[in-house]
Amino acid sequence: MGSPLNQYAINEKLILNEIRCDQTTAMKLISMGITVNSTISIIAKRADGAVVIAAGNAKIALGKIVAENLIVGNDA
Amino acid sequence: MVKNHEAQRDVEKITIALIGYPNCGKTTLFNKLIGASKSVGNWSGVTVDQARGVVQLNDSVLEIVDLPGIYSLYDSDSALDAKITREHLFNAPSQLILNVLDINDLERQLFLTIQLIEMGLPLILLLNMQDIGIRHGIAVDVRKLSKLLNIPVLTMVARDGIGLEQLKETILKQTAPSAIKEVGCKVGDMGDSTAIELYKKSNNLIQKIYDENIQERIFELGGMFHVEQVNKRWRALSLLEDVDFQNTKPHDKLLAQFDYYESTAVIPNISLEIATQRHNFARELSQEVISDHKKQTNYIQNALDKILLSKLLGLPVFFILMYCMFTFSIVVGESLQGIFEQLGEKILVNIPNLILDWLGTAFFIKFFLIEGVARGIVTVIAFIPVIGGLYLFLSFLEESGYMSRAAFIIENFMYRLGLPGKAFFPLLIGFGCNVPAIMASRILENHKDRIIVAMITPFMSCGARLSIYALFCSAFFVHSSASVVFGLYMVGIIVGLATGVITRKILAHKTNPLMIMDLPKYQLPNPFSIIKKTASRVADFAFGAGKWIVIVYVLFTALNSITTDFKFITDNKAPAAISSPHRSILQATGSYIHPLFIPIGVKEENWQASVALVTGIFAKEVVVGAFYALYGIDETETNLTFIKQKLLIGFKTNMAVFAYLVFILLYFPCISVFGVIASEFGVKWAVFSAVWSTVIAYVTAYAIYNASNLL
Repeated sequence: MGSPLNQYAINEKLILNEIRCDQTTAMKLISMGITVNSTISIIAKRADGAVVIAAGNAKIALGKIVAENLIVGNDA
Repeated sequence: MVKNHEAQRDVEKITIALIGYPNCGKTTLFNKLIGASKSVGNWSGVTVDQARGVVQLNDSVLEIVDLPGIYSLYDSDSALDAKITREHLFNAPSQLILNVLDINDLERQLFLTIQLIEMGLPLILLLNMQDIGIRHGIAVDVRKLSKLLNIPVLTMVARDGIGLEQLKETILKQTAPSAIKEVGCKVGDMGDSTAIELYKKSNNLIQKIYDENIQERIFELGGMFHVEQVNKRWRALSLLEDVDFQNTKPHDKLLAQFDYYESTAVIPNISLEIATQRHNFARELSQEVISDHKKQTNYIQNALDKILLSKLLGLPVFFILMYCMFTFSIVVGESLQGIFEQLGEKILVNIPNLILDWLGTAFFIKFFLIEGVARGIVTVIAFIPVIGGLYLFLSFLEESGYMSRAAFIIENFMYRLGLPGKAFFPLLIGFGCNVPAIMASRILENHKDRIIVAMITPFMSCGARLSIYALFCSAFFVHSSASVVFGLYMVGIIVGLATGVITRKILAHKTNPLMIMDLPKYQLPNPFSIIKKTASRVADFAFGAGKWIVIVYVLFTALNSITTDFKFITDNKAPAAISSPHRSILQATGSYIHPLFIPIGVKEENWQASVALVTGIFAKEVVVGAFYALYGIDETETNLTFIKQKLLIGFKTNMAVFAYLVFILLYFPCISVFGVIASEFGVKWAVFSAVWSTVIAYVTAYAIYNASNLL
C-alpha cells in the first residue's frame, strides 16, 4: 500500500511501508536507519527523481532507483 | 603519560581497533590518542585504509588501529574500505574495540554496537561529540546504557580531547588480563541442550533483540555446529543473515547452508527480518537511555539545504564555489608569492652566500649549495602560497559538510557519464593531489568503477600543476589569470570525463545506479582545524614533492652547467645556441626531443621548454624548478621577474602558451601517480594511463595551437 517515495512532495511526513529493493540494498538501508514503519520526510528532490530524506537525525541522499523502490504512505 | 614509541619488543603489544559509522570522529580520536595529524573531514569516506600507531600507556604498549567507517558488520557493500574493516574484525580481531558513536545519532549507530556485542568482542563504547549533543538538548544516561549493555560507556569530545584521560584509564582496566577473559565468554556458546537452556534462562540482553521465531532458528542452527566451534550463536546468526566466513569449518558450512534454506522457508527474508529487529532494538535502547531530548528544528541547517540542494540553485552554487576556489588560490597565492620568494632569497641565498664567501668555500661547493640546493628550496617556497590557497579552500569545504551535498548535486551528471555519485570525492581530492585521490577511490564498491576513476583522476589538475599555471599566467595572462586557470581546469575535466567514457567501453561496464549516501551536518569550520589540515597538506607538498623539486633542480643545474665536452659553464644566463659544440648536456638532450614541441607553438630556440617537460615526469611541479635552472638567474633581478622575461620570448603566441599549459595539464601523470595506479590496479593500467594521457595531451595541444592560428 502506498506510492514510491519520490512521488511525494517536499516536507511531507511519510511512513515507510515496504522496501522493494534487492537484499543488498535493503540491508544497507536498514543499517542506515531506514526500516519499515520508520518515519521519513523528503527535504530535497532532484529533477530525475533522486531525493534527500530526513530519517531520525540523519539526512540521507537516495538515487532515483532506490527512491522508486521505497513504498511510503502519509503519516496520518 | 602518553608518548609515541616504536614497537617495543620487551613488552607485549595490545591491539585496539577504532570502529564506528563513517564520520563519527574515529580519526580525530586516533590523532588525539597517538598524537598524529592524520587527515579528517566532515564527509563519509575520509579514511579509506587502516592506519596504525603505537602509544605507551603506563607499562602497556598499545597499537591503535584506525579502521574505515562501516554501517554494519554484514554490509554486503563491497567497497574496499568497508572490506578492510570487516576483514580486520573477522580474521585478526583486536584485543579491545573502541566503538565510537556520534551521540547525536545514537538510535542508528547502536545498530553496529549490538552487532559487535553479538560477535563477542571486548568493547568500550565512546559517545563522541557530546558538546554538540548538549547544544541540541540531548542527555544520555550513560550509567544505564553501560548497565544494559554490560560494557563501559564514556562520553567525550574527541576534537578537544575532553574525556581522553578517562578513556585511557578505562583502556588500561579493560586490557588487564583478567578483564579480557571475563569479556570473552559474555555472549555464551551453545554446545548441548543444557547449555542452551541455561543461556535461555540467563538475563542476557541479547536474548531480547529478536522474537521467538528467530531465536529458535539461531539455537537450532547453533546446535548443528561442530562442538569445537567457538561462538556458535554469532556464527549461526551470521549464517542466517547470509554471511559466510572463511574460517567456518566446511562440515559446519554445509549444515548451516542447509538450515539457512530451511529457515527462509519458515521466515521469508529472514536476513532482512533479523536486521530490522536489531534496528528496532537499537531504537528502543536509545529511547530508554536518552533522558532529555528537546526536539529542535535546526532552521539554519534546513535553510542551507533548501538553497544548496535546490533544483534551481544547487548546480549554479556548485560552479560558483568551484570558480571561487580557483580564483582564491590564484589571487591570494600570487599576492603572497613575491613576498615568500624575496624572503626565501634573502634567508637561503644571500646570507649563506656571504657566509660561504667569508669561509672561502671552493667554487664548486658554493655553486652546488647556492645555485642548486638553496635556489631549489626557494622555488618550492615561492609556490607554497598558491598551493596553500587551494588547500585552504578545499579544507573549508570538507569541514563545512558541503562536499556530500556537492556529490548529490552532480550525481545525476556523474551517472550519465557512467560513474557513481561517490566518484565525485576522489575526483575532487584530485585537485589537491592525484595520489591520495586514487587511494580515495577505495570508497567505491565496484572495482571497475575504481579503475575508471583512476584513469580520470590524472586529468584533475593537481595543486602541483597550479604552480606552473601561476608562473605562466603572471607572465602572459596578467589580467585574466583566474579565467585561464579555470579554463585549464575545465579542459582537464572534459578530457578526464571523455577518458572515463572510453575506459568504461573498454571494461564493458555499467555503473550501479543505486546511490545511498549519508549527508553530514553542516558545521562552522574550526579555523584552527582548517589551518592545521592545510599546513599538513602544504608540508606534504614541501617535503614530499618539494624534495623532488630540489633534487631535480640540483641535477638539472649541474647538467646545464657542464658542456658535452665536460667543461664547466660559469655563466649559464645566456645559453649557447642549440647547434653550438659548447652546449650543455641538457641542451644537447633537449635538441633531440625539442622538434616535437615546435608544432605546438614553442619557439625553436626555447629548447628549455621541452626539457622542462621531461622533468615533469618526476613530479609536475618540478617543471617550475627546471625552468629556473635551465634559464639561469640574473643576479640583478628577482627569480620571478627574470623567468617571466625569458618565458615571454620563448613562445610564438599567447595561444601557444595556453597549448603548452594544456600539454602540461594532460600529459604523463607523475611517477608517484604512475606508481599508485600500478600498485592499486596493475602495471597494465598504469601504462595505459601514461600512454593515453601523453597522446591525448599532444593531440589536444596541437589542435588548440593550430586552430588558434586559423582564426
